[in-house]
Formats: sequence, structure tokens, C-alpha cells
Amino acid sequence: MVSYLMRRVLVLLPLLLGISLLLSALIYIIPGDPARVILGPDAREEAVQRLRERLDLDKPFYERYGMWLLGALRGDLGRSWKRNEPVAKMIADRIPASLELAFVAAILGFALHIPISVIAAVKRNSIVDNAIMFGAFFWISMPDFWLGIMIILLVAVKLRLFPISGRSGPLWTADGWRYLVLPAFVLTTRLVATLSRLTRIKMIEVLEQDYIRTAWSKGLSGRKVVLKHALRNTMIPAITVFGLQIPRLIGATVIIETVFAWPGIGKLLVDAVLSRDFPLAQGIMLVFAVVVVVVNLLVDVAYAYVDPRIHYE
Amino acid sequence: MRSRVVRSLLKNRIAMGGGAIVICYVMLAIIGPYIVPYDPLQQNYSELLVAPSRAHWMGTDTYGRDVLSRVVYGTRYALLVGVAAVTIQTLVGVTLGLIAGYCGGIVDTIIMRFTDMMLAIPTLVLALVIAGLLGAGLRNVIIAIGMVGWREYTRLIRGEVLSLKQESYIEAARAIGVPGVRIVLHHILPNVISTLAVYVTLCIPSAIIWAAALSYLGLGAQPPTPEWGAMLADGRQILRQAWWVGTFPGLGIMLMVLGFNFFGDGLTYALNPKLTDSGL
Repeated sequence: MVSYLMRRVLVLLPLLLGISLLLSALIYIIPGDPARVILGPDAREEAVQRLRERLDLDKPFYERYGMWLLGALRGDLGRSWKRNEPVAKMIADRIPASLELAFVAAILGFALHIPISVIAAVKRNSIVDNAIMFGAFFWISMPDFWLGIMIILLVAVKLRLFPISGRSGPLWTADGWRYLVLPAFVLTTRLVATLSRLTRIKMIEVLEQDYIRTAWSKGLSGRKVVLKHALRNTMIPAITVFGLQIPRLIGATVIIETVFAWPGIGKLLVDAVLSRDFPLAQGIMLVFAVVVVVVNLLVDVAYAYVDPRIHYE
Repeated sequence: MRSRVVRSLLKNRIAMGGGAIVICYVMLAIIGPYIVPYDPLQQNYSELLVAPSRAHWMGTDTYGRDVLSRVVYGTRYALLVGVAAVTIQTLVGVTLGLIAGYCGGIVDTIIMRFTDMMLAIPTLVLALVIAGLLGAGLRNVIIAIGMVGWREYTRLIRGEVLSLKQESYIEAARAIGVPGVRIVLHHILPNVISTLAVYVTLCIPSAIIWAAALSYLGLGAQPPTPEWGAMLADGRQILRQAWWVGTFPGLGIMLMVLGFNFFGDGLTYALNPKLTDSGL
């Protein structure tokens, strides 16, 4: 297992190299002059030229990328064009908020979708199943940002149960969890709706297997058949499906952080893109790529835990 | 096979309902601009933020513009973006998938490693950055979504091609010297169309939502274009005073996406008879 994990970590390095090269190339080939965009159309040419030199925009691509790469190897992801602060520090300051939101949504989403999928699969084609699946379809069809706006309208504006936006502190502080409720609710329910549909299908496939039929015929209770035998064998596809949803969850987190003014790296990315602060955008994209790869790795580790037949060499 | 697929679809009431919704939206996009009660761009400073009423069924916005007229006009932009973006995704993804799957070897490795690398970046995040690089505007949103959505197509089509390549008729074609391009276009591509059709139907709603998301963030349609995402962004700012400005455009998106999802789901089960459970 350890050597497998080491190999997967080593694969991460060329992947990050490729992503950083791609992003740097995209930034290089975009039309327009970033220095002119930052200073405005009325800025004097001398000021624009000084800024170009300061931001290394006058250097050829290979030189710019080389300098960035050497810095990245030392943990320096460059400086924000707009705020002139280290990108790594800006990300480090904001990432706890994003991790808190995404982590809560992921854990709750995975945990809550299991019983819903089990009920829908066991009561297949009944009113309960149809209601659950219709509800899931309905929920998935709502855009994240619109759902967030509607939740704000109903819960925060009309009922005044929770704050509309922002974050007061970490989850374990007195007020911290109150600010987390609404954005986490949107992300969690979307994840539950998506996962439920997919896990339900897997659960039905497992329930139609011969060994399940044998378990029924042996007289085992419904609870034992479903929870002990069927659910265990549904976990691997459920974990796979969950892993595949992580990139979507990250994308949704970017939107939801903007809707709720949650001070995470998702909102920071949007601000960076809108202000054409591309070194900052590039740094955040790399962080997202690392998160996706690490989560995929954790999913593989979870397989081995759930299914003892799986061994990684 | 076609008649079986059609019969299966016609028996699926949910799928037919979804199809009817989509057709309604298409009709609305075509004739709606000719029947709306007001000019969607016309500002009326004597009727700012008017609540839904008999004169304005969906109320008015910050500039006194009729929300219903703007929502109806927005149907065109939503469908345009959805179809155009998916067209780009399909062309790029299918081409790369066909090449990777048929050629194999180093070509396959390069294409799939590049695809895997791109897949490590969440779709919306990559589309956001590309749209930001290109600049705000609906055309650039279409390009951005097209440029990120091809990845899944490539994987899907490559998988199909790899299994089709083993078929005896493909081997026979190779044996008699049929050029590779002809084999791909005349023998392999027609056999992946059904898989592609389902996937395209399910990707259109995603493209519509992504485009609306990018517009919501300020990168898509610019004022005063009546695009749903941009309207939602306006509505978010004045939620307390005027709930209707942000509510109705979102309902428009939701219903359109629901229609496509229902129809796409029905098509999936019609084309895959082994999947006997429709889930609905």
C-alpha cells in the first residue's frame, strides 16, 4: 500500500507540471496587455512599461515560466498582480474557509445519501421511490446559484433564521456554524440528490444478485440482507461515484462562496479572474488540481478499506 | 432498432413530458420575441421595481424593464449557448476520442494523458478562467464551455471505439485495405451515434447552467442583454426589495434543465434496454 501511495504521489508531480504549463501558456497567448488592463486605458505608456517590467511581462514565455517554476519549487507561487502580495500567502489565508465548507458538505452529502438511496432501492418503483427520484431530479435541475439565492430569500430574508452572507469564524466558534448552515445546505443537498440517483441504481443491481436471493431464501431479516450484505457491496461504486463528484463539488463551492460572500479561495478565484490577476488565478487552479488528485487517492485508499480483497502493490 | 427506441420513448410519460417542455422552450425562443408585451430593453423610470401585477406579470427590474419580456427573450440566449457550446464540445471531443481509440499507441497515450490532466481541473473552474482570459461576452462563454466540456466526450468515445475496433467487420475492412479514415467515418462513427445522442442531450442542460453561472459571475452576457444568469446577478443585489427579479429567471433555467434531464434520462433507457429501471 505504501509503495502504491508513493507512486500515486509521484504521478502528481508531472500532472501539476503539465497543468501549470498549460495555464501559463493560456495566460501568455491571451490577447490584450495585462499591464494596460490593470492600469486602465488612460495610463501613460511609461507607467505601463514599468509595470510590464515589474511583472516580467516583457520577457519571453520560456523565461517567465522557468522563473515561475523555480519559485514554485520553493513554495513561491508568485505575486498577485493586483495586490502585490504573495499568492501562496493569500491562498493559505483563505483556504481554511473553503476546506471547512467543502468538507462539511462532502461528509454530510455522502452520509445522508446512503439511507436515501437504500430506501429508494428497497422500495423500488413504489410511490416512495418515485417521490425520492423525482425530488432528486428536481433538485439537480436547479442551478446552484439560484438555489442559493432562493434559500437566502426564504430563510435569511423572510424568516431571518440565519445570516445572509459572510463568515464570522471557524465552525466550532459560537457564531461560526450559523454562517455555515446556508451555504453548506445548498452544497450538501445538491450532492445528496446527485449521489442518491446513482447509488440507488448500484444498490438495485446488487439486490438482484444471486447471493442476495440466497440470503432472502435463507430467511434472513430484511435489515440484515440490506444493511449487512447489499450495502457493503454497494459501497465501492458509491465511493467511486462520490470521488467523481468532487470536481463538481469544487466548482459548486466557487459559485456558492460568491453567492454567500464566503471568504474562501473560490471567491478569491472569481475576484482574481474578474480583475485579470492571473498569477493568483493560476495558483488557485493548481490548488484545486491537487485537491482533486488527493481526493482520488483517498478514494482508492477507501476501496481497500471497504473491500478486503483489494490489495495495492 | 429505431422503432423500438421510439416506442420505448413514447411509453415513458416522464420522458415525453421532458420532451414537451423542451419543445415549448424552443417554440418560445422562436415566436416569443414577437409576442412579448414589452420591449425587453426598454427602460421605464416610472415603473421601477414594480411587483408582479396584471400589467407586468413578473414585475419590473431596477430600470423599469418588464421581467417577463426579458425572461422570454432570455430563452434564445440559453438555447443558443447550450447548443453552440455542446456542438464545440462534441466536435472536439469526438474527433479526439476517435483518433485516440482507433490509432492507439503513442497517439492514444498523448491524447488521454492530456485529457486526464485537463480532467484534474474542475469544469466550472477551468471555464471561469478561460472565459476570464478571453474577456466577458456570450461568445467567449460559448468558447470557454466548449473548450472544457470535450474531455468527457473524448473518454466516452474512445471507450466505444476500443470495443468496436475488435468487431469482425472492422477487421474485415482493414483486411481488404479500406483506409483508416474511411473505417472510422463510415463504420465506427455511425455505431457510436446512439451513445453520443444520449450524452449530448444530458450535456446541454449542464452547458446552460454553466453559461448562466459565468454570466452570474459577470463574465457572460453584458448589460443590457436579457440573459438569465446576468438577470440573476441583478436580482441577488436587490433580494430584499424585489424577490421577483431573481426568482423568475432561475425558474426559467430550472424548467428548461428539468425538461432536458427528463428527456435525456428516457432516451438513455430507450437506447439501453438492459437498464430496465427508469428511476422515475
